[in-house]
Amino acid sequence: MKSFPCIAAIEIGTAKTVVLVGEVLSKKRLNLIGMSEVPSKGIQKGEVIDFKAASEATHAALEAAEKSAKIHLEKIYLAQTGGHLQGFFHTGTVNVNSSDNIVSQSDIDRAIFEAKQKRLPEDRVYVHHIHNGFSLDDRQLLEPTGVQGQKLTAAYWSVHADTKRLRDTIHLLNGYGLTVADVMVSSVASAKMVTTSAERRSGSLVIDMGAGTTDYALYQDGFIIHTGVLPIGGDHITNDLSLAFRLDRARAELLKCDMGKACWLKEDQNETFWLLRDRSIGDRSFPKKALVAVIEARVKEIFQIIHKRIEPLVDFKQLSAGVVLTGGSALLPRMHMVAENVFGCPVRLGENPSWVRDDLRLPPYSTVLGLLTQALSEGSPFEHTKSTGSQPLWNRLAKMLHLTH
Amino acid sequence: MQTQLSFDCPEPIFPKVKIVALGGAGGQVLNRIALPIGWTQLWLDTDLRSLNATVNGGESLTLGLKTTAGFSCGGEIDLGRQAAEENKQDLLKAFEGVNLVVILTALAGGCGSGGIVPVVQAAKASGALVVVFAILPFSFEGTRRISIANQAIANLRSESVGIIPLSNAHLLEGSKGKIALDALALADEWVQNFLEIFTQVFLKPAYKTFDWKDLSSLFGEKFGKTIFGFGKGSGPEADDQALMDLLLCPLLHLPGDASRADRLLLWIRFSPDFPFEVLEEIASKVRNQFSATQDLRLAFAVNNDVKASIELMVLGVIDLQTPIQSIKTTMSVSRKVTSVVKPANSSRPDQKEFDFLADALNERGFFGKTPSQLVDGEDLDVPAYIRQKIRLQV
Repeated sequence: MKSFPCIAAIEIGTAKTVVLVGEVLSKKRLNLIGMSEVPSKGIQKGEVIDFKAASEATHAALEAAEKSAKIHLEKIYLAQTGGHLQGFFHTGTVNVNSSDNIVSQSDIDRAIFEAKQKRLPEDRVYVHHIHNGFSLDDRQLLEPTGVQGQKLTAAYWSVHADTKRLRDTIHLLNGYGLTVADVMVSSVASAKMVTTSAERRSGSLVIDMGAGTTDYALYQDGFIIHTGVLPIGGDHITNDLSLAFRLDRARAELLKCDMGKACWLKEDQNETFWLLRDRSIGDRSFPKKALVAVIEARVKEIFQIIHKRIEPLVDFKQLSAGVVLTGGSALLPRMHMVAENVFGCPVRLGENPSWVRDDLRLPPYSTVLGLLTQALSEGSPFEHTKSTGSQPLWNRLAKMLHLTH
Repeated sequence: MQTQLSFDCPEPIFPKVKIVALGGAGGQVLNRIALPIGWTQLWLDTDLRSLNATVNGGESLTLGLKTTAGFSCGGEIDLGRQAAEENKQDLLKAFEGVNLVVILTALAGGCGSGGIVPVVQAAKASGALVVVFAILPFSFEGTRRISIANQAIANLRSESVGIIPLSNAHLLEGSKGKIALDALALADEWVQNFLEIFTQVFLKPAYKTFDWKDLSSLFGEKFGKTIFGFGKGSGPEADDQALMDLLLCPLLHLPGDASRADRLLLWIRFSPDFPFEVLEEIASKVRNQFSATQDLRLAFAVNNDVKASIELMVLGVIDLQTPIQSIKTTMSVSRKVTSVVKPANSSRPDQKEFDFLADALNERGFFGKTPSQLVDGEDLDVPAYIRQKIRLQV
């Protein structure tokens, strides 16, 4: 029996489901004791489309993780993605109560409470309130306690989800007998892993390109001021190749992984490739330019859509840390070149920190690692704020979704 | 008693046509092309030095002396717009009495992209029809300039003017192996061709001409995109050649464009040795190719100076309400194709011969059963290369 408490995190992606189990050694130290990764089923564009198939794959991943960690899991943290996630910026402003206008904790609690009160339509539920700092009489402050001022404003970027879709994902885990301790937006989880605090302060855009979705998070002055999800990912590149060259899905995926590049360079000029590559009769040779043209059209479009959404918020030339790419699909060669062309600023491929063990340092694991580390850290976006006296997010979610466990 | 009859034939009235160069790039194009007789010129720029260096006859007007003090706009659209608005009265005066204004401009900078709408508005307020040749930036000029150009085109579309975008990147696709100067001069060539053909079609007498009203009704009501293309052929298969040349005209294959028209003008100039039924066949094929079954107007002219030669021009618009269809493949132009005119008593519907790609826009592959992912009106599950009409070299 383990002497330290354990936490587990799960990412149910379109291509793979990853579970990590960690042993909590202290508030900032965690020992990874179990891991599993299984191909996902019944998930498309980050959402459950076949509950039975998704259940089987998820339960297989959880079982493998328990075996790997040699423990029995009870609670788990969930990374959530999907095109149904939307966000908005909202503030709450209160007058400082005390006669000497010194801000107290109760003023902060009231401002935070006000900032989270915007009503959502009936079929939507909040999943994440991301703190964007305070301002006191138009002065930006990280911590206003004890400072003199009259009007205190708390700002949040709040993410909400479709109730039914969120419920489907939570049910997958409830079906295994697990409680969902909390839910975190995937873009936030991966962004924290692949950026340094300096990069987050100076401004950066993190784009996580998975198989089913592309999630992005924009940092400015250390805060996430915008997140978003495009329900397009590596699977769309595969689908495009499948239709362009009349291949089945598996062959198109192999072609993409083996020969695919995100853009064309002069050195590819005379290169050709065989479509089936198994010496079968009827195999054909194509110029590589055709393959790259299909991929480039899709990749460029993804970046252009993100650029269009982010452009009103930030001048890309001022984004000191530039763009960071992560996720499995970001591993496609020359992806960063297409991104540089679209965004007009430096782009790098994100990597998980050096303290992560080698097999988890690749971009596909940044979301689940980020989720685990966030679950560990205090004052995380999970908002179990004792000072507010408010219920943990899970309890509120459970009530909203009428879940029992 | 003799009755004397006098026949006072009025002088033929030809439309007054003016070509306007807006900004430095527009000025350079106008400087390089040979202007057909009948056209007057107007050079517009905020940059005094550039204007002095390029003006080559005709009138010139420095825009926005108060706004930019004789300097360029520095790529600022707002400055370009303010500069043009500063001289609105001068522009109205310059366009007085003009029937058609053709504007040459590049849309990535400040003067062109900012000044184009006020200039167009002044021309229209004077009662002129307007066609804009908009030179678009290369992809390597950066996303900001491309974004400026796209916004300028969007602003222009709401003014209901003919817009012929000259995408340098697209025109260059067909110029591999050409030396740089020749490749970059492709935009000049298209403008030159437009002016020459337009002069032939509208300013010279012919057997059956287009009335000025034809052009007015084409550009008169609110419309979406403009279609313009031309082709020529000579020799024993001149008609097939001309049709093929027309269909392959790069101006009909620009990104975002579609080869169909709700209202279309077709002009055919032929050598005297052409039989009439060949002309009928050409008109039918063009009508089917562009689906211009509702409103296709024809004009003919004879070129007595050549033999076995034919030239074609199409100028049309797509109405705002009409959804844009996929681009069509090239038509079969063999002489063996029999007349496509239906027998009068046939009950078969017209076969859309060339819509091979019509279904491609519905191809979603393994996302077929999932709901559409609509962004800016496009279903993102349909392959990007299909929606962007990218031709794969296989």
